[in-house]
Amino acid sequence: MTTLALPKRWQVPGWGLCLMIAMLGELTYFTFTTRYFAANGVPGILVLAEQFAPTGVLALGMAMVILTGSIDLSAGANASLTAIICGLGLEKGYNMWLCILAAIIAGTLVGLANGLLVALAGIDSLLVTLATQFIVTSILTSLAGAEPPFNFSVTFQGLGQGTVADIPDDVLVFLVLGVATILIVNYTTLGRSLVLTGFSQRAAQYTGIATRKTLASVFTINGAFAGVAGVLLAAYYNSAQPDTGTILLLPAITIVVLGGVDIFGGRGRIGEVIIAGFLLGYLSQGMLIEGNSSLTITMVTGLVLIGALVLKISLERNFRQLLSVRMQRLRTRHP
Amino acid sequence: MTMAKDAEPAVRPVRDTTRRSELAWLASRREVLVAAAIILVIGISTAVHSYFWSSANISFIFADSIVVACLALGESFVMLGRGIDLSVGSIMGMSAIIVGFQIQNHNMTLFPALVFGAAIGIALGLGNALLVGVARLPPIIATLGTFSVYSGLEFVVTNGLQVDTIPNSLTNLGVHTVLPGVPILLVAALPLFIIGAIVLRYTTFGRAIYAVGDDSEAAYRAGIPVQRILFSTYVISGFTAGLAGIVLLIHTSGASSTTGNTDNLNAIAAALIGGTALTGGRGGAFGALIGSVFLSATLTALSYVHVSDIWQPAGVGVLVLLAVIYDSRGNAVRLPRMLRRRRT
Amino acid sequence: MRRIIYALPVLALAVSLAACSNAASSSGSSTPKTGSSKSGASLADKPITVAIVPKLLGLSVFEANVQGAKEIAPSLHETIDYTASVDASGPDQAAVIMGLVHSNHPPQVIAYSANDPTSEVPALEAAAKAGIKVIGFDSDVTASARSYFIQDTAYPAMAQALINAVVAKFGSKGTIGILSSTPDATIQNAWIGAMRTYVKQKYPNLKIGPIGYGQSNQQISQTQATNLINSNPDLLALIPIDGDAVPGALAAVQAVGKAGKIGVFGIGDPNPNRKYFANGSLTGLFLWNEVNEGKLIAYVARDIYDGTMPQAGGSFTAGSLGTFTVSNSPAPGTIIFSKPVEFTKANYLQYNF
Repeated sequence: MTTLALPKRWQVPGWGLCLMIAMLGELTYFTFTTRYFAANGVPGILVLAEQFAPTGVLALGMAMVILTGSIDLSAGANASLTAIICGLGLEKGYNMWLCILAAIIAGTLVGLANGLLVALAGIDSLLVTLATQFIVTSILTSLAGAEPPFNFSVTFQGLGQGTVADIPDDVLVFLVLGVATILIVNYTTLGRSLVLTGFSQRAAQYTGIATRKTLASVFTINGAFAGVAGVLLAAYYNSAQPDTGTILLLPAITIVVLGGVDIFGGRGRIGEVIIAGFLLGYLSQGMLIEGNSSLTITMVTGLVLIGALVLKISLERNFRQLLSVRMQRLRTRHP
Repeated sequence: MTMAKDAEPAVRPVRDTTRRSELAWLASRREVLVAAAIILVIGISTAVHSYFWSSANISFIFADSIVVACLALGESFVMLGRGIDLSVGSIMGMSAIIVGFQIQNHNMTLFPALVFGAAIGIALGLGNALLVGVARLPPIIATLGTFSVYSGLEFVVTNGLQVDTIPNSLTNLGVHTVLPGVPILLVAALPLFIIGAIVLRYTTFGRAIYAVGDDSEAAYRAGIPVQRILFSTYVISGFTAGLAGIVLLIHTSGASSTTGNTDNLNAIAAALIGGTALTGGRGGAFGALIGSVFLSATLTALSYVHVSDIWQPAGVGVLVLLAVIYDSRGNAVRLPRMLRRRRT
Repeated sequence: MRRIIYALPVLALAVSLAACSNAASSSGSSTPKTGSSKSGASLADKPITVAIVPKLLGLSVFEANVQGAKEIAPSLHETIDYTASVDASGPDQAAVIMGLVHSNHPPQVIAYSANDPTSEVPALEAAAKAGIKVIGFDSDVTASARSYFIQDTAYPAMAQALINAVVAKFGSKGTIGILSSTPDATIQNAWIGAMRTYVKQKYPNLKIGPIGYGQSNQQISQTQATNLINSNPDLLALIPIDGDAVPGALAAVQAVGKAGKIGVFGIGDPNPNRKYFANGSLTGLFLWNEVNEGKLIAYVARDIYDGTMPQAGGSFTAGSLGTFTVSNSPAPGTIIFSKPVEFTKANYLQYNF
């Protein structure tokens, strides 16, 4: 008589496979239609990834935050802030690694502030990070001043534009952080806590998980990731402008959502987020190279987001109905 | 078997089920609070700089806030249903551009402009409504997607031109005052908010929105057509954004391909300050107006004390934080309690 | 199943949008087949593509530049490719430039107007490495990344034109408020600096006072202008030095009822301000002929591809526009386009930008 309780948020298996196929498809398409992809082969394709590696790093941190059912709107501004702090330090001549460390610490502190407000004061993360975004924007605009820092040392530029065995430095950082995120989410207590907190905060609390501590930690880690993204941006552009990181927020969220992470939290695989990052990155780079205007790319990204999600949600619903029917039949056959 | 102090009680006390009186009580409390804050800000600023309290300045504060207030009104409807609309700014931009060209090149007058603008807003709002109400996409994603598409469309529609000239007959609505300090624009826009408040508080539709936002599962089981309600809130949000586009034209007499892209978050901030909670179920139409006026008054006050414009976003951020901290004071964990739990 | 049917049209729309605009833009940017190079033949006959990459799409002043360039492009055997990002962001502009460099038919010359002085530099250096000539106009980057820069007008000349106009109409004693775009806008800061120097020299009783930032947004400019006016009761004049700030400042002055009493002397294009010429609130508007500047861009692009551009100190002719000199001040390889042009009630109808 009772209806079977199916897990509410059931994900399409093999979404990662779909993304991978789509990405390989688009790379093949671009190889045939653009001379750049064909001529420069795999190293050329990897160099293109330099442009969106910082967005990818931002997306990794954002993925962890979204997995807990929250969101961080201040990550972009945070990345701008850390880029400017790093740049200001480099301009004054301090040791390169010291500047990078200072920048990442600054980003972590902003993340910590977000985390404390969300966890201790119990405020919805959208509101907190909305406010923090505004505050951080003012701080970084005043720090940047009339002449934002630029023209850093060659060693530092190498961080953003150099390569290690054909793989660009910042893509390497992105992949290393990606692996680290996968390890955190799948193999540590924190990872398990954050996924469960996202799935149902109440249930996680009753299980004994310190949800507030988890939330605070996730935002802090996201702040650190934004710090790394800011440093990569400063290195790649050899300058730190007030809007450098802020414009990356929406693309980062798009990558996370396209990667199959449930926006309400609790379900999602980081590996798929990484694939989605490459997918969207190459899509916009490839379209730019083909000669499409920036306008078309913005609209196509929006449409791809909507289309992919509608597809995914409808598949999930249909599978759920299918599963429910099948399970019902099983039950009646074996009472 | 004590429940954790910070968990919500599973059964609401009887007092809470008389929704009407509780809502009326809540609404009046919060909006009165913000109105008091506005008077405080004006009082302090006038003490520092006597010109603050002048017809021209107060009138400007009102006129400046009406654009965001209209956006925040629609945003309130959406937020009451526990959704969010991140595309209101671009809908406003589209309406301003399309109608603006009609006014500039074909001498469209005010009333047809309003109708046309509202129609554009409804059409674009339908996009959001279909995605959230019918296709059941999460609102954040759906409106993020439509924001990208609509802001791109703004470029396509302008085709490189800008709306430059709005005749004085229209722009004077934002300048001429009915009473000292009350521009015609405010008086003209007030009916919109009054209608919004009446719909929310005294119609079944309005109460259904509160119900859906508060607990959509319970609303569904009570027989409320949840998806249809959500659908309508996004159409309403588009409608008010379309009207906001016309108000923008009246206030600034211009529009370009980038109009409105930065106003999304300001609209949400204004609605939040005015008392509409993101988690739905609380807030109202006048909150949107009061929140916008408070934002406008405080930012104007800041520049009077010669705080550089750079710090205005921080001002908005701090106000939003104060508003939400005040709203969430029931959810906060008290430090000694948190430490005490550790020991067991 | 029903929901998949919703998804498919959306995805199909996305794909067709990409395909259609790809077809449209690639036909616009493809260069006609160039013949084999004959030794000794003048390069001036070789058709080239010039990519003009302004700060963003849709601004009337840049559209006017492109219009001017397109007018004389056929006579110079050039095809003009106009592309830019959808927002005024340096990194996005850099991505657009990189896309051009890597495209199937890269342009021979890239002419940019930069959003900020530094973010586009890596992309421009990549362009130079690929053999593309790089010139700038209106808003520059660090000088090492480009060969020549067309500066709209000399900073001191513009500052003098503005200040002289203020003094002529409102006297030489009082406070002037400035409405700029953002704190780090290079040209605006250069103008402000030039105004301060000029005023210190010649009109010591004039104070260049508070600066408001309108973020290149007309509504924000209007709000900031109103606040400037209201919080400084002894304001003599407003000087908005950004295209979007001028109509904002005018609307503000009109709203507080001080049209004609507080002067508005701006740097901007005439079209957005047409109705203010008539009612007298716009007391001075200066810019330069954007259409002609576009033509100059086309000429310089042709000359730099042909290798006939002079070194610093030299000069060259640009068709009917006249002779221009290349100088090293304020930055290496600068070409000053013109003196400030004043738009008045009498002449503004001649211009359409």
